[in-house]
Amino acid sequence: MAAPATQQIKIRCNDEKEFTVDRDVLERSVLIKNMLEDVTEQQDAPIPLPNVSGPVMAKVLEYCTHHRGEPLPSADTEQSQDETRKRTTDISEWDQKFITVDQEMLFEIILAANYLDIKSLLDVGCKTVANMIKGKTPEEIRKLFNIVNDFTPEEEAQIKKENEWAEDR
Amino acid sequence: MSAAPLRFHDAHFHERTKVEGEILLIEAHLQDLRAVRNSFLPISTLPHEILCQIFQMAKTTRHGISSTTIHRLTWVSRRWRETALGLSSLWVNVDPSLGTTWFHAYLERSKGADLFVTFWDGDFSGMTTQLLSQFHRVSNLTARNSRVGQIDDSILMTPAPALQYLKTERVTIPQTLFSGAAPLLKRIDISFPVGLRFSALPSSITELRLSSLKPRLSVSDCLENIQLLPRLQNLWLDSALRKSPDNVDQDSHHPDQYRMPRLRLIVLEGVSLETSVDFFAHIYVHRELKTQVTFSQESPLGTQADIPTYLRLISLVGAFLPPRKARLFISNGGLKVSSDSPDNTTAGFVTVERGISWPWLVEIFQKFPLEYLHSLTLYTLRDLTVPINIWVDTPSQLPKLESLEVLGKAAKSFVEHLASFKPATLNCANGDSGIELLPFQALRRLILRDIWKIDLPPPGVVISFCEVLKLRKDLGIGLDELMLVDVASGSRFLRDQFTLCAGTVRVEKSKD
Repeated sequence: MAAPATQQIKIRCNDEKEFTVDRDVLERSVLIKNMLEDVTEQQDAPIPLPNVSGPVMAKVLEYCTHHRGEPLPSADTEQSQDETRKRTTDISEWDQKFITVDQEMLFEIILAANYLDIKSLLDVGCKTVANMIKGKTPEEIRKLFNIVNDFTPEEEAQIKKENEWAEDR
Repeated sequence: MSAAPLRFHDAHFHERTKVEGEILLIEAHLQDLRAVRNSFLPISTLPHEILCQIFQMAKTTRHGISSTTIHRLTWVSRRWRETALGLSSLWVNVDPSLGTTWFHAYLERSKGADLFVTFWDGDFSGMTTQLLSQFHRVSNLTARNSRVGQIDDSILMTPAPALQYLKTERVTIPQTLFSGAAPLLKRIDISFPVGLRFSALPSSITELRLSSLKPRLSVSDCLENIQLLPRLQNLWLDSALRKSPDNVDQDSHHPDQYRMPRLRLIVLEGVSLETSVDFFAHIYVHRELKTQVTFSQESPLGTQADIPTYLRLISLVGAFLPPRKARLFISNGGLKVSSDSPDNTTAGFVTVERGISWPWLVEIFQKFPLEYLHSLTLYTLRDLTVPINIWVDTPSQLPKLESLEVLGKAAKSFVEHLASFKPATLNCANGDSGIELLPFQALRRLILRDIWKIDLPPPGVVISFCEVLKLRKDLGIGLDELMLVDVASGSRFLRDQFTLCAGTVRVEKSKD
């Protein structure tokens, strides 16, 4: 039988930070949903989440609370949604504001969404990074992510030659 | 030549070579250190599969695939290059217009993945052979010419075992597409075709879009040819049809109606009113079949005499087919009739993208089978006085109207009309509730726009109107939703009257 919507669940992050959250909010995470379904008896011990820190979890919960009640992607729709995701990198206004964070936090959110299996949040994160990349030259991309050019001169020459094929056209 | 310089050269050759070697080693080590440094960046915490997902998303634009972005991804760092080159799906959108070198690179880097090939204008003679050698993995093929005959016809005659989607523009269609060997081909989109025969199309297709046919197909030819495609589910015809020469009797359904139980969607665009009626008179519109007719260039309402034909078309496309709920939307930009299916999607959709004059609107309204209408939006006539009898005459014919949205003077006249049914005027003798006297009994959602902006109804009328709404509520036929948009210039007292008139009362200021 489904648990009542108001049931509160405790989680513990890797920095010992604990959150008590409505079950339906937490169940946006497929990982936690499956964990809760596997537990037959009510447990008071918090669910350990060793891969997520408190500040990141706070952001993830902000997202889950905002999107609570929205339908989760089913296995049937996942394939067609994958196709749609590839086609568009549009992000809703609220999600855009939510994901306007520094790069470190952005990548932490993506990693947390991946670990917790929250597909829609993972999408928002990936789309944000994809949108940051679009329209930029390699040098601009390096500058954006603080990457240094680690190609050898020979590799650089080969890539330059490759790209001349396209730039010439 | 003196020997001294040679001796000098020889003396330092090994030293110099050794130093150069060391420089190379240090440079290689520096590059390695740079790669290691990059590995400690926040972005490097992303695992390979997420970086791949980001790359996939980065390559898409609103207009398609950006090859420039794909190429640039290979030029950022070693890790990005390795990821990009190893991601075969990044290279599957093969565009010969990028040139032979890239064409070959894409074919190679996409490894064994299914290909999405797009031919635009240009000389592709050097690439056809190589493409044909990889044709077994082409899943999507788009071929567009600005001039007929530029693309090598052999492409459309080669067996295509993986092909699922074909789109052509100004391309000569061979007698048998892909020599009849395209077993997975389900979706075909053909425009400006040369020499199109339906027999050329695989009978397995489920989706067909035909546009800009010259000459257009007659309705009877089209319907007969569609029978050759028994699995067809979705059919779009844009500027593709003309009326049958036999001048079918439009007053009744054709005796030989085509029953195509697999069809789920028919869309007609760029078609005349007569042709669309001719077409749908021959089609049996079943409950699962959604229909759309959009008139833009060839307006169906050339004269007022067209209105009965137009209304007949609305019936033919299934807008009134139970359990669909018919909707009428009239705005300054045109007219839309549609119906909501039980699955909350639109069916039986006919739209005129052109303004309708007031006398025509009245006539449409008078002749419209209002008994079927579930939703009415009069999003126009802000400044026109609506004769009150448009409401007086219609209530008995609007037994199913659930949603009404009106603005300006039309809204005002509606308020005045409903106010005339205030409880004191109803004949409620002998315990009779008077419920049967109230008009618009199915109405559950009412939106009034700009009503105060133009001409404020007298306070007494508004109070009576609210009394009627409260009475309806008491009788169990109250509004679920009442929305008043742009009442900024109305008095607070009047607005307050609406409280408790409906399940939800919302007062908003319009954005314009």
